[in-house]
Amino acid sequence: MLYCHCEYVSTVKEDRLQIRVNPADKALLERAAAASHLNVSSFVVQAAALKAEEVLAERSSIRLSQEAATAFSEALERPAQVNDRLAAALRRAPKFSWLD
Amino acid sequence: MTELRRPTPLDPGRHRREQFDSGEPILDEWLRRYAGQNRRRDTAATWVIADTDDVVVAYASVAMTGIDRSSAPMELIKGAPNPIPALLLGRLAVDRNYANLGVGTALTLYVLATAIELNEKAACRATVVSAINPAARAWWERLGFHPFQPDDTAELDLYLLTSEIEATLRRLR
Repeated sequence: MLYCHCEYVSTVKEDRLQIRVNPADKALLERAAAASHLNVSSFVVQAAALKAEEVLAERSSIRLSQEAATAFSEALERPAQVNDRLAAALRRAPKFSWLD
Repeated sequence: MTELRRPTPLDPGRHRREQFDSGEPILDEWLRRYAGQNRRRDTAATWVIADTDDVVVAYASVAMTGIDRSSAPMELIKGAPNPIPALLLGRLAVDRNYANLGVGTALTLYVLATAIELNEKAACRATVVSAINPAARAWWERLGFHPFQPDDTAELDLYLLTSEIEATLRRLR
């Protein structure tokens, strides 16, 4: 019987990321991965993904490309517009009730 | 009908979040492990909708941010502040057992009402959301949010102007 070390079998074709690491950091990552019952690759990816999400979700500044900054500046200058999609969402009755 | 408590700030001592399952492991993990700590670091505030047993059904994390337009042509930025003060709705997750009830929409509308209040008291010209994947982007677009770069399918940052929220609420009143 085959024994699988992987956490899950992904159906998505996986990409490769090559990174350089000094021996001390590598040893640290290996110890932490072993303590988490993960292989080093899974451990690094999970930890980095968590950090990446945190960075994006808590940005103190959102830098726009030239195109985006131009479009956003123009939108700011326009008179206030009613947003039909938002209006529809506000009108839709939720399928739950508030406990008051 | 399901009864839920109105949005309140996360209280780590009271709200139960061990079983929270949005289908997005990163968002579940963040709520279970980091949400309480984060509040102490004050980088983001976590708001929750809980059921009658204080089990978290949905959460949002909200922080102040600035929209940096320095790459736009000078004449467009002139006269307006840069960066533009805004609210960042960095995370929104709903437990799968409570999907399709309108809980995520309700929590978003609560945050948008906060943006209006902040705009009156200080300045908050927009609410920015950071979609976790393309399906989430489509969800935000259905609510009326605009991708900063609509033609770029990889764009996952969207915004809604506070002036739009105000105008929309006035129309419905």
